[in-house]
Amino acid sequence: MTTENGQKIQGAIKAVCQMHRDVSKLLLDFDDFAPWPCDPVFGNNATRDLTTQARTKYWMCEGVYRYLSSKTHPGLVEAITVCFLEPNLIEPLLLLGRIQYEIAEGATVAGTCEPWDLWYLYFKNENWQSRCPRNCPTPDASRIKTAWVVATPLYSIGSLAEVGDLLVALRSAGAGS
Amino acid sequence: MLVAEIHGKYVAEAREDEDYLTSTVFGHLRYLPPAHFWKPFLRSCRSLSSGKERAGALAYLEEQTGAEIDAYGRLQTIFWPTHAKGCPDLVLVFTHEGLRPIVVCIEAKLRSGKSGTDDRDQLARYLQACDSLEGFRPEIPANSASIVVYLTEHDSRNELLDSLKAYGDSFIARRRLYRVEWQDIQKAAEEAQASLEGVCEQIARDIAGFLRVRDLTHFRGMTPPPVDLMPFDGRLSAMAAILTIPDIPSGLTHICGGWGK
Repeated sequence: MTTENGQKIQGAIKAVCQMHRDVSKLLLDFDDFAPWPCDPVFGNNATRDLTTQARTKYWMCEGVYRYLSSKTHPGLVEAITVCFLEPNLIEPLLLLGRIQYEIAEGATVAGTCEPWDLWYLYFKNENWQSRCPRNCPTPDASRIKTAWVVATPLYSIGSLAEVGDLLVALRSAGAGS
Repeated sequence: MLVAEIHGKYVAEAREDEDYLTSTVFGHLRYLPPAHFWKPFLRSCRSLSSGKERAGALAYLEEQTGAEIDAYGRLQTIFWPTHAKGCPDLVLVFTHEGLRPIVVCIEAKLRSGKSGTDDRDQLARYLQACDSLEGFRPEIPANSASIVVYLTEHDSRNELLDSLKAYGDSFIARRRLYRVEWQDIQKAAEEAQASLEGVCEQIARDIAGFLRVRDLTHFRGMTPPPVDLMPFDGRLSAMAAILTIPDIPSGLTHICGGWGK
């Protein structure tokens, strides 16, 4: 009792599960790259905005994220986001960002940082080159002082060390900004 | 069972049992000399920093004893010792003549979290047990430098925070309570292979392989999808119709309300 298309879909679903498993490890291992003592801004939540409604186009999460806020540099956050599903994507994408937030008096990083910031920083800009850090001006989001982002296809990542190298490049590019 | 699991032969019930996992892993690791596997292991035990520093267990213990872990010649492993404050899974005792002993009290979990809250908090009780090492049975050196290590598969930061509150949060308490993951043990065992020989190298190799089969590893790069999912045009043929729908709604636009000002 099998069909060829059904088996292909089953294989695809399993491949997606494996991708989630790999990315889950990547998100948690990202913590070890933080150059300062840090807190995860959104705790151990990695995604949101999923629908559980019966009427929907799909139930899969569009992306996952982890944001780490520095305990020693107020408002400074390093973040990782993996984009799975977006109309303009041709393959899953890895984003790394170093964002300096403008923390209003009495406000907190958790109250200022938004989980999809890195996502928007990428999709609001065009002509990205893989593994080239970019300064992303945010004139329409005054809560962000500076934002540096680097992007690469998720499946170009063959080891954790490559992620570390990307972060080093990101920090070097953003130094002094 | 360790070798059986490496070859895909296992008893499903035993796989989920954290005591079985603990005894399998540490029952083998205890034969490794302190200078090799244990140094990277203790380095990967992380505290909840209290301010600006990021201290690992290795730095703390070396500071307390004035000696490097390499200098210790003997490692005693005591499984499930008893103490009035509770029964941790494992206590490691590093000793060497002329050096202050080291006690590493380990509580291991697989799927579950720690037990107890407030004054029954498991890790807080083990910190208290380490305040009175003379209460352990079998006996361990009471003058040891001691730490508590919480070994999990998951990120246990919040559990450590609760334990610190229960014990009494302080700079010193934060430097005596650590978290480490099974994935760190896998990595340390893999790294230790290069510096070990003979039976010790085989033990490190088996532990690394065993934990890898259990998927208790750190990120090792993206796993390539099966080749048969890749037809000639680079798309999943069966999913092409879905992936090319132009109006896939972005939940980020519709649900989240878009970019926050």
